[in-house]
Amino acid sequence: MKISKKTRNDILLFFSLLVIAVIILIAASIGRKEGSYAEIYIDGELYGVYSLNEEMTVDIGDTNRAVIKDGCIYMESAECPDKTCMKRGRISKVGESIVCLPNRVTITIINSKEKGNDVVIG
Amino acid sequence: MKQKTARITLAGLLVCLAFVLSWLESLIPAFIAIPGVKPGFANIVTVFALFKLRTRDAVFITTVRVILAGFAFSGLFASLYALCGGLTALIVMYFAKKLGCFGITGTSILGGVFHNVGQIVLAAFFTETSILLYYMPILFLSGILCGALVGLLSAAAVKRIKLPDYY
Repeated sequence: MKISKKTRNDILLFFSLLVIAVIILIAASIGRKEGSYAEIYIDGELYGVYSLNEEMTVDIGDTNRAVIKDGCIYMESAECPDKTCMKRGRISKVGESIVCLPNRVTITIINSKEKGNDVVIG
Repeated sequence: MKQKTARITLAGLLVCLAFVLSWLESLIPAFIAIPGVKPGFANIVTVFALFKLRTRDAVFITTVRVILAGFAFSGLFASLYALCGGLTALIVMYFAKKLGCFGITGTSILGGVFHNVGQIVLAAFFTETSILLYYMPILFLSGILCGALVGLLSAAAVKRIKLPDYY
């Protein structure tokens, strides 16, 4: 079967855009800055903002416990069956997040204390 | 007169079809997992209209569908985003079609990518840009994949559905 010129162009377009996307993805993950604060949300409402420079343990409600150490934050314990948030490990870069779906707890790394992510694109 | 009535009826049917596709999409929770990533099956109708009807019909159908679906399923702010993305995509697809070197699938891929570009540009006005930058590669990638999927489906529809000459 002979492939028409337009179809060939379509395939070329698809793969070249895919390559560009992968390059951007790699560049973005390398260029990520270390964040300085962690925002903790319960059920979509801000629970607190904590500096990553101070070592501390944060009790989030009655269900989760997060630990800040060496500029990273991680979930130490969680009262849920799947423990996905604990397996997520340490996070420290801007935009990274830990999500505990059963307890509706979210931890997000931000750059500055004033402004967070307040709009979801849909 | 017959021509005009036929056009209006078809546009109404296509808006309806696109609306149903938007609704079906809003029922699937897997796509809500990453905010902003949706396959956009309603765009099949947009691509179909662009290739089969007049450009102004495509603009009309897309605008009406986005506003209807926006108010029914997501809210004012989200429909503003969707409208911005949808019209950016339509403009890019119009020029891609005029250029004539891409097929329907390629045109739709460009549409998918620029749909998300349009939304990012609008979001840049409202939010802190640094967070958007981390979001961008995901949206870019999903634009390519969803655009390709929508394109393949619309190409099949354009090929199979025959309209009378007067459209």
